[in-house]
Amino acid sequence: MSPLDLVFVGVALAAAREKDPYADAQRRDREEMAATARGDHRALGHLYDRYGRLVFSLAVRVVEDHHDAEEVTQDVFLRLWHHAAAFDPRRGDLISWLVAVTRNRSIDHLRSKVSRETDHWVPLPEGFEAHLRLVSEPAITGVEAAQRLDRALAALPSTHRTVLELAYYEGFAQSEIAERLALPLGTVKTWTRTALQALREAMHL
Amino acid sequence: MTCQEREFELYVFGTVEPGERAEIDAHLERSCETCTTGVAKARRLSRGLALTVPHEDPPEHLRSDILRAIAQSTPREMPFWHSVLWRLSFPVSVIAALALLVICIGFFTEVRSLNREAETLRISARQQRDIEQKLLQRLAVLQDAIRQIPTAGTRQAAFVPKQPKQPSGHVYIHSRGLLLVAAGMPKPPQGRTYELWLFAKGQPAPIPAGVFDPDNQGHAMHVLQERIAVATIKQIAITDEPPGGVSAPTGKVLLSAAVK
Repeated sequence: MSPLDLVFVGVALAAAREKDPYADAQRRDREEMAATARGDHRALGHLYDRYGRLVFSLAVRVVEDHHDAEEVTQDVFLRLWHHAAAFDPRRGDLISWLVAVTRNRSIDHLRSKVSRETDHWVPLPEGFEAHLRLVSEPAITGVEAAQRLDRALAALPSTHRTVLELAYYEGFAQSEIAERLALPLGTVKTWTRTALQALREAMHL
Repeated sequence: MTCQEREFELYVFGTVEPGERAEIDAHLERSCETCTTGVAKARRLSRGLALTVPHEDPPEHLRSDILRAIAQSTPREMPFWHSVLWRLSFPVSVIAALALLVICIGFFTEVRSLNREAETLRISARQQRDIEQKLLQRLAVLQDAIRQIPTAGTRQAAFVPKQPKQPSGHVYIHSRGLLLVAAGMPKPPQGRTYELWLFAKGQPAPIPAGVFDPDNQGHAMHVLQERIAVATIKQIAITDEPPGGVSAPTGKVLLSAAVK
């Protein structure tokens, strides 16, 4: 069962109990982030209970090492602790920030470990304000949309999926992917564009 | 490349070429609607991709490790007003230290000033005690001289004024000394003092018997504490002499009287 499945199950169970599970999740985020900002360790523990598995799973997928993923997860929640006061629920959701920071920290960790030098990978700012400026929609846009995304990924040709994963999970630029796979840059760009377009359609973006 | 043609997902993934990144940043900065919407959608896609990764359970100890690390971590990001107070704490401390230094300097200066004043008062008190001691000694001398007046063997010489405003007085002579009491004494000439002389039988030169000055009212009192052969004294005289007196009279005689 993937974290996506868990989210689906959680949302479905919540939906059975309440009319608006997403609003309930956001209310809990808001309350626990406010308590965390006040220095409440228990509130951070609750956030970890809800999102720790997602953060750890994404970190494992990127760094491919459980011990390193633990370090990344710890780093992410420490950042959450230190920046909780800047969280503004009116400007976006917590899960988006967690995903972006986890991915950035994981790729940083990976690069430092293999001494991969590149000027291409430039993660977006991780501060809540800079991040949430660009996020104004719910993290969970619907079970059906997420399932479509999962199916679209599975349906991609392996070559297309590979270039997408190298960009998303390892932070490689298209020129680096072309060099790594010994492919023409134009081919990589075409496969990337095609793969992204398929995912956009799957999510109705 | 137009805004519609951009791959905003690569921007969100952090893998877009530097030139294109700068262009998107510039468009976002000026609130380009296409780019803002494109990036927001790309973020949703990125978020969705994260939710498709295979599930991994974190180890049991990780939760407590994180909470322990937080407890031991450096101070959390402070609220604005805390931050302001923290930033102000150094200059405020410096100002407070300087103020304390100024107060200390002022305090020690005041203490030194008070010490000097106390020392002055101590000296003044000592001088007053010396004066009091001298006055008491002089009083004792006068009381002793006065007590000798009615004793047997005391002889006296009287200055009786023959005209108004002339000095008057008595000199009482006894074996241990003499006492002069006078009134209506004029001030001695400038730079001079009065000296008392005793004339004795068988001695050609007068005997100096001390110097004295009258007060502002013309009163004078003089005591000599020396052995005197009372019986031989036949006359006394007062002259004006240089300060401190001389061994033989040189000045003008103010008064003279026979001893009885």
